[in-house]
Amino acid sequence: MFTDMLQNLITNTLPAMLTGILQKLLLLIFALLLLVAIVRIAMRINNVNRTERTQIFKTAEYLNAWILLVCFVTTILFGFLNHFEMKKSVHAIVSLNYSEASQALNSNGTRYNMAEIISDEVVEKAIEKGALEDVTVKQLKNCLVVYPCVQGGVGDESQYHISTEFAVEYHASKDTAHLDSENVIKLITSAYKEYYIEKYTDNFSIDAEKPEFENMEYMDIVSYFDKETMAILNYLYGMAGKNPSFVTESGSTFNSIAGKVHQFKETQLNQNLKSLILQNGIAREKNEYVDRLLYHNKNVDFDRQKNEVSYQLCNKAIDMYSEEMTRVVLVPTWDQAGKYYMGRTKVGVDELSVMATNFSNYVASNEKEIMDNKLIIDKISANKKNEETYASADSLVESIYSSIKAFEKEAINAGREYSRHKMNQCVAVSIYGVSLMSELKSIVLFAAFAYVTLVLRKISKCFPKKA
Amino acid sequence: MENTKYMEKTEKYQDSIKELFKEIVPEEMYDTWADTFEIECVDEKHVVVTYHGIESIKKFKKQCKRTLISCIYSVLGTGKKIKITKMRSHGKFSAKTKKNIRAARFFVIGMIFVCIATAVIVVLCSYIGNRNFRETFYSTSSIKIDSPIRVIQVSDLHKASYGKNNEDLFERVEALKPDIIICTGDIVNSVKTDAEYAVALGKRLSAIAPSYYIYGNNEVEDIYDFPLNEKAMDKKFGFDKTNRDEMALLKIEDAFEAKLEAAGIKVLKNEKDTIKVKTMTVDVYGVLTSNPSAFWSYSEKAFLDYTQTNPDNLKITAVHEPFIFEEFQHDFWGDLMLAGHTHGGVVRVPVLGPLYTHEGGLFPERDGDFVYGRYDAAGKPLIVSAGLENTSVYRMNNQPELVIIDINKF
Amino acid sequence: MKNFQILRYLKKILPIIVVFCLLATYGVYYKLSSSNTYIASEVIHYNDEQAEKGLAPTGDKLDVNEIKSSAVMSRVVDKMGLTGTYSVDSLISRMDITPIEDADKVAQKEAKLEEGEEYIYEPSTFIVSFAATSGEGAEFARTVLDEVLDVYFEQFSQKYVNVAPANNTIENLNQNDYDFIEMMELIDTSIENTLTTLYQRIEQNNYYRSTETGTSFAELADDFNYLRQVNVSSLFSKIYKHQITKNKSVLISDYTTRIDNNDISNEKDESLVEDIVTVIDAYVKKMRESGNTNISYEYILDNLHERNLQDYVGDQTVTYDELIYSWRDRNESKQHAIIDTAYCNYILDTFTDCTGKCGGKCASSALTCSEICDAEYAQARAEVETGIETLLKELTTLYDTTMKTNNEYNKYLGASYISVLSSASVRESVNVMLYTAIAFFFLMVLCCGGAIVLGRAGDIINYIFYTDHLTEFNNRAHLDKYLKAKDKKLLDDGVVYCMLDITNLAHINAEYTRDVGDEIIKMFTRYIKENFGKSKTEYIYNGNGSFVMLTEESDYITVEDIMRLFRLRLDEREEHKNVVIEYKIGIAETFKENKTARKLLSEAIKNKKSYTSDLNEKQTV
Repeated sequence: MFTDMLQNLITNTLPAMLTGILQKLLLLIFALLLLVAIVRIAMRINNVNRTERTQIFKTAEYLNAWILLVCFVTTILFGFLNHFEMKKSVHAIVSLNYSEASQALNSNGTRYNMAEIISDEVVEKAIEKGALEDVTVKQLKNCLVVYPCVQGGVGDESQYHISTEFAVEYHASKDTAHLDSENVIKLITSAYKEYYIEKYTDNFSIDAEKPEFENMEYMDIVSYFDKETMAILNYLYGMAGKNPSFVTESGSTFNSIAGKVHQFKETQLNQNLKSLILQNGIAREKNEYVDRLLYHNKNVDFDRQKNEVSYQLCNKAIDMYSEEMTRVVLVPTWDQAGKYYMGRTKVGVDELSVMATNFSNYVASNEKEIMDNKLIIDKISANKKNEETYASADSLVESIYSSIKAFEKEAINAGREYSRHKMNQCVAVSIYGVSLMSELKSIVLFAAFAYVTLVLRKISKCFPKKA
Repeated sequence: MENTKYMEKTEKYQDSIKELFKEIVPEEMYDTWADTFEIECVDEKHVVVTYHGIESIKKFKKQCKRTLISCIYSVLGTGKKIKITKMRSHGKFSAKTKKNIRAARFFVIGMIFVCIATAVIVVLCSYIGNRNFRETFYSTSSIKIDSPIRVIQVSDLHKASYGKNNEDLFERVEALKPDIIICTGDIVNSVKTDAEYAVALGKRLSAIAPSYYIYGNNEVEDIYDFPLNEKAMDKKFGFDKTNRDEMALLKIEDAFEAKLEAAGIKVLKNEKDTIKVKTMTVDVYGVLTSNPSAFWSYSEKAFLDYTQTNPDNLKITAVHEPFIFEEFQHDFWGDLMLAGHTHGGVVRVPVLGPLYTHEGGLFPERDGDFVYGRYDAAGKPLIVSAGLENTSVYRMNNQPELVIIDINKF
Repeated sequence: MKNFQILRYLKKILPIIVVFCLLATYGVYYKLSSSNTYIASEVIHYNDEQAEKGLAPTGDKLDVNEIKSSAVMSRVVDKMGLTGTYSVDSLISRMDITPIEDADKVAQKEAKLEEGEEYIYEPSTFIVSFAATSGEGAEFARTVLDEVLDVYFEQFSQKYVNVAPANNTIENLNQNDYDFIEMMELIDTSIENTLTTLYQRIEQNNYYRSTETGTSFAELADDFNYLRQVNVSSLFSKIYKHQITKNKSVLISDYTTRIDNNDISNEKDESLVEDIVTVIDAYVKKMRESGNTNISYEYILDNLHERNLQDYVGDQTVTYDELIYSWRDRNESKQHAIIDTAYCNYILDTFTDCTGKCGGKCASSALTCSEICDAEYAQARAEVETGIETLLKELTTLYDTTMKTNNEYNKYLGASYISVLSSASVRESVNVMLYTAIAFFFLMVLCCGGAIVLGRAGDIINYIFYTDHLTEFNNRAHLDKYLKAKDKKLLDDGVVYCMLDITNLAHINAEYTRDVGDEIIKMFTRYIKENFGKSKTEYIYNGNGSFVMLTEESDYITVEDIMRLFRLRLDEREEHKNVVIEYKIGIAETFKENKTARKLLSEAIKNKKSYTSDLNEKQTV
C-alpha cells in the first residue's frame, strides 16, 4: 500500500505537480534570503565606517563549509526538480520534404496551412492514438504552439520566403502535467503525419468490398467491371501525365501497366465475357431484365426523338439563313501547329452546323443504344437456360474480378512507389527533448545564486545593529 | 648601480631603526613585533617594510605603523614614501589557513555524504519508478501498407506484474488499439514454474489483437535440454554441415507451445504466420535460433522463404536477441524488426548511453552492439526494447517500457 | 571657477542615471509591448493573365476586397471556433490588403496613356495582412490569416473558376409526398444534371484526383452513370410494369396538367415563331436594300484577331444570328413539349391500362389494375420503396464524395490561380526592441545633458556662493555646509584635517599694505596646492588668513610631512623675503573618538603649533 502510494508519488504526482511548486518554493526561499540580507546590509551600513565595511567584506568566510554544503545540497535538489520541470517542455521540427512545399502548397496542390499541425482533428487523433487519459482536445491544444522556423518579410521581393519547416512546442500545463511530454509531442507529430497522408497524399482505391455478383445481372457485371477498369486506367493515365518516364522497381511504367489493363479490358471484358453473355443470352432474371431494357429503350427513344427534332431544326435554320447574311471577311489566323493561314469570320450557320452535327451524333448514339438493347433482348428472349454456360460465365466473372484486383494492386503499388520517390518521406519530424547542457546551465546559475545569497546573508550578519 | 649601492648603505640602518624602535615602544610590544618585519630600501624616496608575522598585517599596522614611520624618518630622513606589505608565509600554516583546511575537510566529507545520500535516493526513486512502465512510441513507414498499422511489442517481462494480474498493462495495451501484438521472449523466468502466467498473458493479449510469442533464452533453457547453438545442436541431432535438417529442432515436443496456442497466442519458432490487417496482408516471422552460429544453419530455408515469397506483404521479423542483426550483413531482414533481451543496458548513463549487457560488457553501444532503441538493419528499422522487467534494483534511468510502433505509408 | 569638464559632472551621478534610464526604459518597453500589435502578412499573386486587367478568370471584375468579405470571415470564425468571442466585423476591420505595383508595368502604362493609347494594368500582387493585439499574440495573427486565405482560395475558385454547381437536390426525397414515378424522375434529372457538371469538370481536368476521397471526376461520373443504368432503370421498369403508385388519381391529374401546360406552351411558342419569322424577313429585306451585305471577298482584316478581346468586350453575336437562334430555340421548345406530352401520355396509358387481369375494373376505380388484382403488387411496391431508399443512400454517399472532391478541387484551383509568394510572416507593428533602444539612448542623452547643465550650474553657484575669489579655494560658507553634511555621519579612517592660520596677517596688511597681505595669501594658496598635490584634499579658505585642508585616504604623518615641506618652502621663498610671516599649523586625524567632522576640526585647532618664517634672521621656530 505504502509502496503503491510512494510509486504513484514518484512516477505521477511528484513530476506532475510537486516539482514545479517545490522548484518555485526553493527559488522563493533563496530570493527572500537574498532580499533580507540586502535590506539588512542597507540598514546597517551606516553603523560602520568605510574601513570597517571593507574589513567585513575582506574577512568574510567565503569558503564557509556550511555555506558550501547547503549550497551543494540545494543545488542537487534544484537539479532534480529542474530535470522534471524541463521535461515538461519539448519541441519538434516538422519539415515538409516534398517539392510543392517550396510553393507553400500541400502535395496535392492545395494551399498549405501550418495551423493544421495542431488542429482539433490532429490533436484528437493524437489523444486517440496515445489513449491519453484525463485530457481534452482543448486542454492539450492550449499547451501547443506552432510557428515557422524561418519567416520572411513582405518589404520587398528579397525578403519573400516560403516556410517549409515548422516548430511545434509543447509546454505542459496543470491539466496535462500527468502526460509524458515527449510522448505527447511524438503523438502530435505522428498524428499530423497520418492526417497529412490521409488528406493530402496520393490516394487511389476501387471498391474495397466485393460486390455480390450472384445477385447482379451479367450485363450489369460487365458495366461494373468496365467502370472499375476505367477507374484504374484513369488513375494510371493521370500518374503517367505527372511523370511518364517513372519506372517502378519491377521495371514497369504507368503507361505499360495502363497498356496491360487496356488490353485486358478489350479481350477479357469486351470480347470474352460480354460476347459469352450476349451470344448465350444469359441473364439471372430474364423477364425483369428484358423489361428493364424495354423501359430503357422507351426512354432513350424519347431522347432520340428530341435530338432528332433538334437536328432537323438546326438544318432548317441553316436553310432559312439568308444568303446575303452569310458573307464573310477573311482574317489571318493560325492553326494548331502555330502556322498562319487565312481563315474567315464565323457566322450563324457555322454555329448551327456544329449544333446539327452534335445532335446527329446524339441521335446515332441513341439509336445504337436502342439497337444494342434490342439485340440483348432478342438474345436473352431466345435463350434456354444452360447451366454449363452460366457456370463458365460465373467462373469468368470471378477470374476477371481477381485480375482487376491484381491490376488495381499493381497500379496502387506503382503509384505508391512514385509518391514515395517524389515525396521524400513527405513530412519529416525531429523531436528535441531537454538537452544536458541546458539542464547544466540552469543548475550552475542556481548554484551561483544560492552561493551569493548565503554569503551575503552571512556578511549581513557581521554588520553591527548599532553604530 | 647607484640604487644597489644605496640599498647596501641603508641595510646598515636597519639595526639603527630597530634600536630606535626598541627605545620608543614598550618592551612587551617590542618583543611581539621586533622580529616580524624587515626594512628594505627600494630607492631614495621609497622604503618598504615587509611584515612576516603570524598576526594580521592590520594589527601590525595599527600598533606599529606610526612609531615605525617616526623611526624611519629619524634614521633615513623625512619625505620617504613608506609602504608596509605582507610577506608570504612559509613553513607552518597560519591559524586562518588551518581553519580553512578544516572547513575544506568538512566540506569534502559533507559532499561525500550528500553524494551517497543522493545516490541512495536515485536508486530508490528508480526502483519505485520502475514499478510502472512507460510507453515508447516509434513511427516508421512502408510502401506496402494502405492505412496505418500499429504493432505493440511486449518484451522481457520476466514474470513482472503491473497491477493485479497485470491488468494495468493489459488495459493500456487494449486502450492503445494495436493491430498486432508481439511478445519477444523472456516473458517468464521459467517455463516449468511460470507457465500459467504466460498462458494468462496469452489469453488476455490474444483477446485484444492477433498475438505472437517468440521464445527468449529463459523459455529456451527450460524447453530444450541443450543450448541452441550450432555445435550443441549438431551434437544433439548428430548432424554435420552436409545433413542438417532445420525441422529436427521443431519436432521436439513442446508442451509450453501447446498451452500457449490453446490460449490463443501463436508461438513462432523459425516460422511465419500470415494475417490480414485491415486491407493489408502481414507476415510475422519469429526467430527461435537467434544465436548467430545457429541462425543460418538451422533456419536459412524458413527465413529465406519468409523474406522472398509474397514480397508485397508487410514483413515483421521478431527475435529475442538482436545479435543476428549485429553479426550478419543481409539484404533484407524484413520491413520491421523487433528484439529485446538487453534490458536497455540496465543503467543508462546520460551522454554515455547504456552501461552494461551480459554479452557486450561495459558501454556495449561503443562496440556497435544493438542495446536500446531504434537501429538500422539493412535500411529498415530494428527496435530493441528495454523490456518490461521491473524487479531489478540496478535498473536506473531505464524505466521498463511498452513499445508501440506505428507504421504509415511514408 | 572650475574648468568645464564633462566627465566630472557625470562621474558621480552616472550610476544613478544608468539605473534611472534602465527603469524608465523598462517602463517604455512594457508600455510598447502591451500596446503593440502583431501583424501577420502574406504576399499573394494572381497568376491568371486576366488579373493584370483587373479581371477574374470568368471575365468579371476582380475584387480583391473579397478576401475580407463577411462571407470569408464568417467561415473563418466558424472554422476556428471563434463564434461568440469575436464578431465578424471586428476581424474584418483588422484585415488590410495592399497592392504591390510592378514598376515596369506602371511606367509602361503611363507612357502608353501619354501617347493616348489605351493600356489597362491593375496590380496582381497583394500583401494581405491581419493585425492581432499583444494579448492575442503573434500566433493568433498568423493562424487567422492562414485560415482567411484558405477559405478565400476555395471561394475564389467556386466563384470564378469552378462555377458549375454539383449539389445534392434529392436528399430526403423519400420523406416528401412524391409519387414513385415522380421521385424516380427527380432522381434521374438530378443525376443527369450532376453528370453534365461532372463532364464539364472532366473537360477542364480529366485526370484530377482528390487525395481526400481518392476519386476523380471521371470515376464519379462513371459511378453516377452506373447507378442510372442499373438501379434507376430497374426501378423505373418495375414501377411501370406493376403500375406502382401511391395515388392513381393524383398521378393522372398531375400528368394531365403537364400535358395541358405543354399545350399552352406550344401555342405561345407557335405565335412567337411566327413573329420571329416576320422580323427576320423584314430584317433581311432592309439589309439587302441598304447594301450592307455587299462585302467584297478581297476584304481582309489588317490585324490578327486578339483572342482575349472577347473577354472584356463581351458577347458580340450579331442580331441576325440571334434572331435565327431564337427561331430555332422556340421551335425546339415547341417540338420538345410535344414529345414531353407524348411521354406524359405514355405514363397515363401505363397507369390507366385496364387490359390486365382486373378485367376493366380499374377504369372506374381509384386503383390501378395491378393494385386490384396483381398478387405481386405489394411485394413489388415494397421492393420499389426499398430500392428507392437504397438508391438515395447510395446517391447521398456519392454526392458527399462529389462535394468533397469538388471542394478539394476548388482549393486546388484556388492555389493554382493564386500563388503565395511569401508565406505568413509576423512582425510587430512597432519594433519594440528598436524603440526601446532609442528610448534608452534618448533618456541617457537627456539625463547626461541634464547632469552636465546641473553640474555646471552647481559650479557657477559654487563659484558665486562657496568660493573665495582671492584664493579660488572654497570659502567659509562651504565649510559650514560641509560640517553640516557630515554631522550625522562617521568619518572613515584616514581622514586628516589640517588648519593653517596666518596669525600676523593684520600686521602685514598694516605694515606692507593689503596688496602684500593678499599676495602672501596667494603664495600660501599656491604652496598648499602644490604640496598636497594629487591627494584627495578639499581646500577651504576661511578668510582672515585661515586655511583648512580636509584630506581623505591619508594619515597624520603624511600630512605632517606635507606641512613640513610647506614650511621648508616657505622658508626658502624668493618673494616677500622681507616680510616676517607668523602662522599656526594644527593637524588631526580620525582615531578612536575623533570620528565626527566637528570633533576632528576641534582637535586640529587644539593641535595648532606656531611657526614664524623670518628670512631676515634665517630662523624658524
